This record gives sequence, structure tokens and C-alpha cells, in this order.
Amino acid sequence: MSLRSLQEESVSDRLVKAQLSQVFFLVPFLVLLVIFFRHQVLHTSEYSLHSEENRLRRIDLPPPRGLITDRSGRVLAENIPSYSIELYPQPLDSMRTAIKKLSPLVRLSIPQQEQFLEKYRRQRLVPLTVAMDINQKTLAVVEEHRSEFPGIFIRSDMKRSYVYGEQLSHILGYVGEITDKELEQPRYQDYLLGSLIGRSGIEARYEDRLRGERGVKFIEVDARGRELGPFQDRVPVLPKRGRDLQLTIDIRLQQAMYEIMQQVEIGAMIALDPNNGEVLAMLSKPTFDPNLLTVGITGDQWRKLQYHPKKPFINRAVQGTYPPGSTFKPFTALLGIELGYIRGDGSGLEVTCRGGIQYGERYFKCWEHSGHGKVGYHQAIVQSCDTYFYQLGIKIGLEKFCELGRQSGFFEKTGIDLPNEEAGLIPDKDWYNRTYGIGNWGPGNVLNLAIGQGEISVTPLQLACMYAYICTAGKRYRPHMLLDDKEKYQMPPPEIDPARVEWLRAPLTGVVNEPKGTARGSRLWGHTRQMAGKTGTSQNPHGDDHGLFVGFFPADDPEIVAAIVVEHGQHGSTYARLVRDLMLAYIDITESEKTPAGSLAAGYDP
Amino acid sequence: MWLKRYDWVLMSLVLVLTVLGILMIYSADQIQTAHTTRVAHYQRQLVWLVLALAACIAVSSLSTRSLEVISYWIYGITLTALVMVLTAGKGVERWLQIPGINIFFQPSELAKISTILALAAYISNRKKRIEGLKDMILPFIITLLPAGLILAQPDLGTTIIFFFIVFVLLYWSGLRLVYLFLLISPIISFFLALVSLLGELRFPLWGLFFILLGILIFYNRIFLMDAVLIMLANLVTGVLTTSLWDSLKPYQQNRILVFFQPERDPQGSGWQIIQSKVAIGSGGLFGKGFLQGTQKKLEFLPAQHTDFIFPLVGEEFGFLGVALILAMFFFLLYRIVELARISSSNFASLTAFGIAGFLLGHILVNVGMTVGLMPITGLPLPLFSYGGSFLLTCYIAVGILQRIYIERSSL
Repeated sequence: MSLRSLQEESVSDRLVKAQLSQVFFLVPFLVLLVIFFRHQVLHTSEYSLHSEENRLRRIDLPPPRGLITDRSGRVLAENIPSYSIELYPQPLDSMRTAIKKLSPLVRLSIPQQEQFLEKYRRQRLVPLTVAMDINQKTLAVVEEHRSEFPGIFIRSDMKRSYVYGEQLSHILGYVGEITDKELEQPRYQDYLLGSLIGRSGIEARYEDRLRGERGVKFIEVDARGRELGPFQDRVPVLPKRGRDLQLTIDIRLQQAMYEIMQQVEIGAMIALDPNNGEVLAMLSKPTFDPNLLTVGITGDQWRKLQYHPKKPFINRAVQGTYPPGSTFKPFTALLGIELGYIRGDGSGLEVTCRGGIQYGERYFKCWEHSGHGKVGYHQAIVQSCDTYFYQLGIKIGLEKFCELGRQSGFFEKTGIDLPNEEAGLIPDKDWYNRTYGIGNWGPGNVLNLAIGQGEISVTPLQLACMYAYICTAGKRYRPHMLLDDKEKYQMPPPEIDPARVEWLRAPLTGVVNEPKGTARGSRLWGHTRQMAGKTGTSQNPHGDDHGLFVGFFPADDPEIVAAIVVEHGQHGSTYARLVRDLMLAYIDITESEKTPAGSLAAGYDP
Repeated sequence: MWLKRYDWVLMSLVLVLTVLGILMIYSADQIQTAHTTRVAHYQRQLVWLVLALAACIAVSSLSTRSLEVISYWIYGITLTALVMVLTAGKGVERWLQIPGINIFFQPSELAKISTILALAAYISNRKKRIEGLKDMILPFIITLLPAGLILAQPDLGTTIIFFFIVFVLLYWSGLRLVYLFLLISPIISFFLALVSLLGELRFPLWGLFFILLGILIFYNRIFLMDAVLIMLANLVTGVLTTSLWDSLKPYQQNRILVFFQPERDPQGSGWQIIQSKVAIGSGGLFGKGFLQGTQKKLEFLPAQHTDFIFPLVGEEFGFLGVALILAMFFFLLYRIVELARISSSNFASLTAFGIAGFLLGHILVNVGMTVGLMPITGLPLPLFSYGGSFLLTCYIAVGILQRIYIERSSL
């Protein structure tokens, strides 16, 4: 044997071949070593990071929104748990299987399944939400079979819940998920996909305060996305709840207003405290249920609300502008007082009403065709005599009327802390020239303006503020929704002697309480304190006239001012009744508050 | 007692690698996820080790002379088994049940050894050296028969190993180096053509190679017929690659690209490579510690106890662990080459060298795969990966090596 091998092959031959092959074998090993060195020594930090990220799942903990309460702390908006089903990123095939397995539970049609898959294809790194706000039964079933669904995760969220539903929808607004477009804006840089954001009302106005600070926790997952528990090396950050807000609203008065306004189809009502500008109640009709909008509203449902002909999303109390009609007469009277045409002792302007006056080429009618006879400012307001105010308007003159009107500030935005407030309009020379063209209008327009018709318009809120000024004889406050420091809402009043503003109290009380008053039907019978106010009918070129009434109570030392506008309601006197009902509700509420408090105080009195 | 005359350096290397492998398999079994009952792979591997050692001792009792005599018979039996796998199995089965016992066996593993033996027997019994393509016809037939049957299973990785084996044996038989280069030149042509296609330059790179090849052939006085055949093979490969590639649909092209560059498909086969690299890279210099690999624990590593066991070494023992294991593997191969040098017969020498080549092929393809150097073909790491048939095959090879050592020439 050994002989044979020696014959065929020399020993040195084999040595050369062996050494060469050993070198050949060594080379790939060295190459491998270099590569492993590169991965494990030079680039180890990147891979370590990747390895940690592999098993680390960051879960954002959205902060609970602050609560919203009424002025006595009753909860108006709160957070209640809501559960949604999510699937974690995983290979497409297993995602498809998971969706398919889940579909009978959360009722997904085949096109919906495809939609979710498509969504996942586009965003491979974020968990896919397949069902939101699931009910308790589904939750129980999914929890029970959790292990059968790879990568499933039940996220518990807080859902915004509006306790009084549609009664407060225009005040509180609602929350919704932030849109992709908003996320691109720098002001929303702290928000994430799926973050909730206030969409209107208080929720939008005080988003910064209500929102709170997001927290985060870290959990460990395996390759299939299954959770294994908290990630040991990273400390979770707890979310911080947003600040609670206390509103000036009194929910009992709001509820009363809601009941009263059931009789009105389209319109708005607002009640505020004239002594500090606090809004006590506010309602706009038609209204909507904000709870529908917080989660899971379908596009169809939303469009239905958005494009509804009666525009339920509009808060008519601050966004609707209407000619104030006769409710504006006290303001014209105020201008008369300021210019000396009206005096408290009744020695000022007197007019004999024969059912209207001729001015230039036009005859201006008084609503009372038979005429009011001889009237001073008192009776002119009580009976709402148009002729008197035509005359007063002529005396003031268009230019002065508009100038003083503007200066008063009552036609500017009130600055209430609600989004999208609208301002009314008081025209002036420039405005007329712009709108009608030079020479196409005349000084006669002042007659219309003097009785609150024509181009002039206000929001119900502006109207209430004007009356708050009148009825407190010159105090002015910025109307507001947030119950806090009263001082900061004080505003400089127009420069009229408060004693002279006081002259309007008697005629406004007369409107409701005198036999000839236009709102005498709404007198508070059997009460020692009385309501005062003024009716109004605003001409509407597009249909039936709007009916208005502004009232305050008690007439001699007002605590509450309320304004109502009813679209196509025709006569303001009809709606004085609704304001009266609100005042009755106010009396009930304040008296129920005083009685126990009073007895308590008596009990502790030494 | 012949055991005393074993090469105990070689035997120690083999045993230490096997035990380390079983430790890694044990680690691979430790998974944190909430699974139902899992198989304890390391226990099964221990049982296989006992069987494998028995086989090793039994084989080492056979003289190389008798091995040479029965080598064609063994080869024949293996081919039959491979045919049986194809006909009995349902297409993708690689397993064959040993009649009577509930043990399944992969004939493709044993086929590697029997092919080495058959090739060694053929080459050592030739009167003349292998000098041209004509002399290689028979060796290639011996290789192609089992390789083709295995490719039909289909098992591309194992098929590649067969070509590795015949290639190293031709080298050891004394074939000129230039011929070895010419043999693999069509493969180089294929890759160069592919690279030329993907880059901006379409023909030049492959064309350049083709011209250089011509010059090489001209100056090395190759048989005319061989020269023509090789040039033709290169031309056909280059041209076919180019024209076939253009006729493929984009998704087909993509599939080929993903095979060579798995990173192109991070959700599919690239996932394995990425996670494997992450495991290796995150191990750093010293590793995360035995049983502490997070990639492993959370099942980010696919096939972590079989084909992808090496990343686990990288993750838990770091670069130092990797370097140690690679050094041991190299030293093992070095030792086997030494053995081939001092073998008493050409048959024994060729057999030893063939075994070295077979192990080298497995190591390079497997380890290269874990860092994305090689396509994912599913080749296990010798002595390390979980798998009974392969462990048995390795130990049979070790048994043969021990016998060769016992019979080594005194020179």
C-alpha cells in the first residue's frame, strides 16, 4: 500500500498541494473574520439599537382631557373608557390572516378588510386600528380568545363624553381626531396621529388648557408582535391630565332654556349676568349631539349635519347676525339722551303719531296704523312707536347716528371666549358709498336705522351685552364663559352719565308691566320683582320676519339679561313669554339656593 | 485497541465543537414567548451524538482498503435511496424512514460521504493523472447523479456542496490550477454578466473577462478541444444571461435579485438576514452572555437552532466567541489537510481531502449566509446545527478520518 502511493505521488508534491490548500482555506476564514469584526466591533452600536428597537414597543399614553364643569361644579364633559382593537406590525400574510379572523367579531365586510390591508401596506410601522369604541360583548369575546390573534392589542382609551348631549353642544363643542393636514402644521407638532383635538366651542377655544401632557410606556414584544410585559430598562412617563375648566354656565338654567327652546325651530337664546358678563346659559337651535362626533361617526352622518339646510353646527347666539328691529329703539333713545333730545323729566322730544310720517318722497309707516297719538320717549318705548323714533332719527341725523353708534363699540365683536364669533354691522357714509354707490342713498336711511331695520345687524350676544349696559346704567363687561377673575372682564363704558342711562329703566319696565306695553302678556304676576325688556320684529327680506325679545330681571336691580331671536318667528311679543319662562326658572333656581343656605347661616349664627 | 491510536487532537476539536453546538441548541430552546409545549432539541441532539459516536467508532474499524472496495456499492445504495425519496415522498420530502424503526433519515446527507468515497476510488485507480476535460467526464457523472437527484428534491444548498467536493478533489488529484480556474469561469461569467446588466455599463465587464480568458487559455497551452469548449461555455453563459434576463418579467428578475441580495426584500427573505445581522452586530465584542440573546429569546432569529445557529454564537458570545469558533473550524480543516498529506494511499488521501472540502463548503456557505455574503440555501453548520442525519454524517466522516490516521504512512 504505502509502496503504491509512493510510486504514484511524490511526498513533496503532496506537501506543496497541502500548504497551498491550507492558504486557500485560510483566506475565506479571514474574510469572514473581517466581516464579523465590522459588524460586531465597528458597527455594534447601530445593531444594538436596532436589536433594542426590535423588541421595544413605545406606547403613547394620551393624557386625559380636563373636565368641564358648570359654575357650581357639575360635570358637563368627562372622559369615559373606550376600547379599540389594534393589530401590531407583522408580515403581510399574517396581518391578512389576523384581519380575516377578526372580521366576524367586529363585522368587517370584505372590501373593508381590503381597505385595512391597503392602509397597512402604506404604513407598515404603525399599529393598525381595525375597530374603535367596541362594545362590552365584543371586548369580552376578544379578550377571551386573545392568544388566537397574533399581534392583537386592545387599546383602552378615554372617550370624551358630553353628559348633557345636545343641550350644550354649541357651548362645549366636541373633540375629533387630528387630521393629517393639521399634523403638518408647526403649531400641532406635539400631536400624534390619532390625537384628539377640540373641534369647536370651549373644547377648541381652551384646547391648550384641556389637553394635558402625553405620557409613554415601553413594553417588550417578540418577533410576532406579542406583548411580553413592561420593558425593564425604560421608565414610563405618566400622562398629565389637562386642566379642569369651570364655566359660568348654570346647568339648571341651561336645562330650563333647552326645555323652553323646544318650541323654537331655528333661533338662539342667551342669558348673562349684566353685573360681570358671565354667560349663564346659551342655546342655539337646531342643535346636535356632540357624543355622535367624538368617535365613530360615519362620513355620511357627518355630511348630513354639515350640509343640513338649517345648519345645526352654527351657534346662532354668537354667529347669527340679525337686524335688531324694535329692540334697538332703546339704543336710539340712548343717542337721543346723549345729544340732549331726551330728558329724564319728560321735557324732551314729543311726537304726535298719526300712523307714520312723510320724509322726502317716502312715507314711513308706524306699525300701529291708527297711530299712537302724542307720545314722549317713555310711551314711545312702551308702545314701540316707530313715528317717534323716525323723528328722533331725523334729529340725530344719519352721520351722527352712525358715528356715535360706531363709537359705542356695541357693534364690534364682544370678545367672548368662543371660537368664530361674528360681529354685527352699523353702516356709515363710506359703507353706503361702497355698497350702493355715491348718490344712490340718502339721509332717509337713518329712519330705518333708528328703528333697528335696514342695514344694521347684531348677534343675540351683542344685543344682550347692549342691554346689560343699559340695565346696569353704564356697567360694561366682556361676556365670557370661563368662571375666573371677574376684574379682568371689566371694560370702559361709553362716556354717558350713568344717571341719564338710568332714564331708560322706567320705559323698559313699562313694556312688560304697563297696560299699553307691547309685552304686557309676559308680566310676572304675583311676584314682587318685575321683568323689564323690549320686543322687536326684524324685517327679513328672505321670508317671514324674525321675532326678538330682550329682557332683564329684576327690573330695578338686574341680575340677569336674556335675549332671544327666533328666525321667521314674526312677532317679538310672542317670544317675550319664553324669556319670562326663563326668568321664572331663574327665580326658582336662585330661591332654592337661598333657602337652605339661609337656614344654615341662621343655624350657625351665635 | 485502535481507539488509542486515534488522532486525539482532531477528536477533541470535533467533540468540543459538538458540545458547544449542543449548548447553543440548548440556548436556542430558551424562548421567552408564551408558547405551547416546545421540543427540547438539545436532548434529541445528545441522543444523536451517542448514535453518531457509535457510528464513528464502527466506521473507524473498517480499513481504508475495504472502504475502497465497497465504495461503489455504497454509492449505488445511496443513489437508490435518493430515487426512493423522490418517488416515495410527496415532492418536497427529504426524509426516508428506516424500515421497522421510527427513525427518519436524510439520504442526501449520506450521499455526500458516498460521493467522496466513489470519487476518491475512481481518481486513485486511474492510470493517468486528470489533465483535461475528457478525463473529468466520469468524475462529473459520479457527482451529477446524486447532485441532480438532490436538486430535484429540491435542495439547492446540498447540490452546491457536491460541486465543491468534486472541485477540491480535482485539485488534490493534481489538476493544474489554471484548469480549476477555467472550470469555474462560466460561473464568473454569469455573475459578471449579471453585474453588467444591473450597473449602467451593460456589456463591458463581462466582455473584458471573456477577452482575458482567451489570453489566459492561449498562453497556458490548453488542449484545443477544451479551450474551444470553455470559451463556448463562457460565451453562452454571458449571452444567455443577458438575453434571458431581458426576457424575464420584472417580478422574476426581482426574485433572482432577492436570492443574491436578500436585503432587497426586508419583509420577506431579507427579514432573516437583517435579523441575523442584528443578532450578530448587537453581540458586540463580548456578547450578551450565554442564554441572554434577546434576538433569540424573542424569536427574531428564524431557524435559530438549525441553519441560523451561528448568529446565536455572535449574539451571546460576541466577536470573541465567533473568532474562537471560526479558529477551531479552521484548525479542524488544517488538521484534516495534514492528514490528507500523510495518508498512506491515494484513496485515503483523496478521501480525507474531500471531507475537508465538504466541511469547508458547509462552513463557508452557512456562516456567509448569516452575514448576507451567501444566498439563503438552508445548509447546516457542521457539528453545530441541530439535525441528526447531518451529525451522523459528520461523525461517519470523522470515523473514516480516524481510520486514515491510524493507517497513516510513517513518512
